Amino acid sequence: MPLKFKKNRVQLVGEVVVDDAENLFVWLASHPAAEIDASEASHLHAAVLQAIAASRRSISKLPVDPFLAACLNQLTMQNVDQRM
Amino acid sequence: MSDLLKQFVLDAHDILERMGGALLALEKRPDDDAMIDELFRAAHTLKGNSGLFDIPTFTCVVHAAEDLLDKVRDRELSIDNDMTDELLDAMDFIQRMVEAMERTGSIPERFSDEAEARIAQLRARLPEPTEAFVSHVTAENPDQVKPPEDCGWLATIPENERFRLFAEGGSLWGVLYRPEAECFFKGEDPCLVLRNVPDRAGFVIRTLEAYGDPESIDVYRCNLEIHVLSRAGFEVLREHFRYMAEQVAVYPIDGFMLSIPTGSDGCDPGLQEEFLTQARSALGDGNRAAFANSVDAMLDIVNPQSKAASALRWLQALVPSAVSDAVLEAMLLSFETGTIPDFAKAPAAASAGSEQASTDRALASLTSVTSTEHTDAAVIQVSALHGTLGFQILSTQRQLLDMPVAEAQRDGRLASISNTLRALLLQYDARDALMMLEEALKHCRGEASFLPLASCLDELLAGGGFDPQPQLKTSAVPETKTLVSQHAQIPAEGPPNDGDTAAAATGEHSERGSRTLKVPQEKIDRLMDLIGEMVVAKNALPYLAAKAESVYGSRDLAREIKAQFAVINRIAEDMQDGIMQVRMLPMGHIFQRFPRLVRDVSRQLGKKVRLVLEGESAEADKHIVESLGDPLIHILRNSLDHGLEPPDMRRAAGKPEEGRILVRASQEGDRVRIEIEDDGRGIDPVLVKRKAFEKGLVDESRLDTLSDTEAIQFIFAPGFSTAETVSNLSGRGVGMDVVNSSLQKIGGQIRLTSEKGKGTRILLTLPLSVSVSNVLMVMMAGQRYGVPMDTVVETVRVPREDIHVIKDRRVAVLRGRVVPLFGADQLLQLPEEPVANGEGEFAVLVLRIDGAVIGLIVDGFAQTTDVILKPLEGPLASLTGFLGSALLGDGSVLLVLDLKELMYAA
Repeated sequence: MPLKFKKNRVQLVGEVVVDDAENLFVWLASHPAAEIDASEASHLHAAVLQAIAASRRSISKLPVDPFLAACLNQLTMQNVDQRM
Repeated sequence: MSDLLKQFVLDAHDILERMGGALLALEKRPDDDAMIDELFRAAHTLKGNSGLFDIPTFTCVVHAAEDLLDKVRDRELSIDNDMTDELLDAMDFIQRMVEAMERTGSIPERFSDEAEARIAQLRARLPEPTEAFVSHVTAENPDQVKPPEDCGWLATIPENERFRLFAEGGSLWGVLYRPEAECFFKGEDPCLVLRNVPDRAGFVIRTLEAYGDPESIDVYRCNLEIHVLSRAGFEVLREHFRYMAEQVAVYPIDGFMLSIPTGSDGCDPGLQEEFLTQARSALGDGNRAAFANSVDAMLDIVNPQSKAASALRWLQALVPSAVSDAVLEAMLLSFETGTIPDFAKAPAAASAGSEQASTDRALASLTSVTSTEHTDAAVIQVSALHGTLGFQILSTQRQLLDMPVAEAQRDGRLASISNTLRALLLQYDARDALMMLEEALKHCRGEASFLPLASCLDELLAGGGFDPQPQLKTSAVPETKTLVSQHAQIPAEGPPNDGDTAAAATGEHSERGSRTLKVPQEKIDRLMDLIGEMVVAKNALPYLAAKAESVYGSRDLAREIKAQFAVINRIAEDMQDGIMQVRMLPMGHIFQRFPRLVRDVSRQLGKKVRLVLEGESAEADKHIVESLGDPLIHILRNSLDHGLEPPDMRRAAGKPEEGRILVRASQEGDRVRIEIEDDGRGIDPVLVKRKAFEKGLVDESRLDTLSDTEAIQFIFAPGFSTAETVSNLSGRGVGMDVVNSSLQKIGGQIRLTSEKGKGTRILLTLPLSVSVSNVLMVMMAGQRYGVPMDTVVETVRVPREDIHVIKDRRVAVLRGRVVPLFGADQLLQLPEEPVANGEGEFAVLVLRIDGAVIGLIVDGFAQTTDVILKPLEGPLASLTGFLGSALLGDGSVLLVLDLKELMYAA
C-alpha cells in the first residue's frame, strides 16, 4: 500500500498510483492538520499531485527524488499562496 | 497476469469489436462523421491504454492505424473498400496480439515482423509524410495547444539554473503541455511524461484553475499546466509527446529569453534614472563597452537580492553574446518597470546569431507563428496577468459570484467584488474591459442579480480558455480585446466551438453519472453457484415441515416452517432473478460479429447480400448467448454458401440480385427465439429423402409417409452431413448435426422450414438461463424421475380403454390427434409395468420432442421443482438416456431423463 495513514500523518511510499489520489484527497480533507510525509515516494501520479495541491497543504517531508520534490514544491507553493 | 493487464485485455476486446462495427458502418456510409470520430476515438483509447504496458509492437501498430484514421477524420483521405479491408486485417492482427497477451502476458517475438509489415502498409496509405507532419502541426485543430505568448514561466526556474543554461548555449526548446481534463481516464500520467522528457533542463508545473470549494473538487479532472525546457531536438520532443500531440506545443527558445529578472522589488529611483540614461545613450551609440561598464557599476550599488540586480546580472551576461540591441533595450525596459522583458520584437533580429539548427527552426517556426504575432507594446504591462495573480483574482471573483448570498448582503458583496475588479482592471489599464464591467454593474444593480456581472466575467475569462461555464459568446468579445488577447493562447486563432465544449461537458457529466462495473465472470459464476445451492437448500424446508408434522406431531411448528419457507423462497427467487439479470447479455453481443462475417464471405463468393439484424437488445444468459455464437455463424455461413444463389442465378429466378438474410431475436416467456431467414434457393425435400434412404436413416415404408417438413429435419441427423452429400445437395448440412447438438447442450431446440426456390427459415429457441432447470417429477416403479419442464406439454389421465394398440404400438387420441404412447418400463427397461389408478386411468405425460408429440405412461405425477443439473460423471457417464442428476431438498438424488435419447433408443 503506497499510502500509509497514521493518526495524524500520511506517508507516501514508493509509487503512488492514480487510484490512490481520491483516497488521499478524502483523507486529507478529513484530517486538516495532518502532516504529509513524501520522503519515501518514488513517483507520484499527476492526479496525486493534484490531490495534494487541491488540499492546499504544504509537505512536511519532501521526497528524496529531486524531480518529485520540485513538482511538489511548485504546486504547493502555488496553491498554498493562493489562499493568502 | 496483473489486474491492470486483465482490464486492458477486456477493454481491448470491447474496443476492437466497436471498431469493427464502426468500420463496417462506414463502408456503407463513408460520410458518417460521428462514426469516423467514434472509430478514431476507439483507436486513440486503445493506443493510450496500451501505453501503460511495455508493448511497443502493439502500440505502434495501433498508432499507425490511428494516424490513418486521423487523416480520414481530417478528410485528407477517404475510406474505401480496400482501406476497410486493410484496417480490418490490422484489427485482426491486433486482436491476435491481445489474445497472445491474454495467454502469455506479453507479446511474443514472432509478431514483430508482421507488425512491421502492417505498419508499413498502413503508413503507405498516408499522404506524403512530411506534408502530413506539417499539416499535423499546423492543422486547423482548434484544440491544438499553441505556444505561449511570453516565456514568463521561465522565471520560475531558479536564476542560477538559467544562467548555467544560458552559459552552456546550444539550442533550447520550450514545451507547453496542457493535459486534457480527461487524460487520467486514458491512462496518461502527465507527471510521468514530464519526468521522462528527454534532456529535460527545467520545468514548471502548476494548476490552471484555482481550487475552490473542497466539495466541488474532482481530483480526477486534470487541472495542470506543464512547461518544460529541454535540450533535445524538435523531432525528439514531438516523438516523446506523440500520444498527446494536440495537447502540446513545442517551440524554440533563444538563449536570451532565459533572462528574466527575478527578486524583490525596490531600487532607488534616482539611481535608476541615472543608470537608464547612461545605458540608453551607450546603447544608442553602439558602444557596448560603455554599456557594459555602466551595468557593472550599477550592479555594485544595488541590493543583490533585488529584481533590479537580477536584471543587471542578465544584462551583464547578455552583452558579450551576440544578441541584438532590441534584446538589451527590452531588458532595460524590464529593469525600469520591473515586469517581464518583452522580447517579442527581438527574435527576428537575433535569430541570425542563434546557433540553432536551421532545419529545426524551419519546422518550429510553423508552430511559433503565434508567439511572435503579438508585438503590441501594451502587452507587456498586462502580460504578467496571464496565469498569475491577476487572472486568479478574476477567477476568484467569478467564483464568489456563484456562491449563495443572503439578500441583505447582496449589495455589499457586489460592491466589494466590483471594487476589486475595478482596481485590477485599472492596474492593468484594460479600459475596454473596464467599460464593460461598469455596464454590467449597472445592469446588476437594476436587476438586483449577479447574472450580468457573472456573464461579463465569463466573457473576460473565456478569452483565456479557462471558461468556467461554457456559454455562447456574444458580440461583446471584440470590445474586450485588450484584456482577452493577453490570455488568448488557445483560442487566438480559432475560437473554440462553444457548442462542442458544452456538449463535451454534459457528455462527460452523464458518463460520470452512469458508472458501470466490470466484474470478472468467475465472481458472478460463484454467486450463481451459491444461489443455486440456496435454492436447493431452501427446498429442504417443506420436507422439514412434513417431518415436524408426521414425526413430531407438531402441526403448528409445521405451519410456521412453511410460512418461513414462503418468505425465504421469495427472497431466494428474487435473488436468483437478480443474479441472472447480471449475467444477461444482449444478443447484439454476438450479432455484431455477423456483419463482418457476411461481408467477408459474400465478397469471397462474389454474392451480393444484405444482412438485416433485428432484436439485438433481446437478452439471455451470458453462457447461452456466448454458446450461440458458433452455431449461428455456422448457420449463416451455410446460408451464404449454399442458400443464397449468385447474382446471375437470382436474376434468372426473378429475384432481386441482392440476397437477404434476416437474423431476428426475440424473447418469448422464458425462452429466447432466434430466427435466421434467407431468400435463397431453399432445400429440396426429394433430394433429402433420397439421401436419407441411401444413408439408411429411414426405411422405405416410412419414406412415403414422411412429410416434406419432416424430411428436411434429416439434415440434422448425425452422419447425414458428410461433405460430398451436403454440398451436392442444395444446401444446409455442413455440420448441422453439430449445430443441433451444441444447441441441445444448452437446452435449445432448432426447427427448420424451407420452401424450394423461396428460401429457408431456421428457428432456434433457447432457455434464458441454464444453471437452474425446472423439472417435473414423475413416479415410475416406485422411484422418482425428473423430466425437464420445457419438454412437457401437459399431463393427462387416459382410461385404459382409450389406449389402442396398433401394430405393436400403443396410441391414444388426444385433442383430436393420434399420440404414440410409450411405457416408462419400456423406455427404461424397468421390471414393472405402469400401474393405473383406482378408476383404471393411466397417468400420461404428454411431451414434445423434436417437434413430435408423444405420451409417456408413468405411475403418477409429483410436484415440479428447481434443480441444478449435474451431468453424470465417472463410470456412470456412459449411461445414456439421462441428462444428469440433481440433489433434492430432502437429500435424495433425482435422475433427470433425456427423453429424446430414450425415444430414439426405443
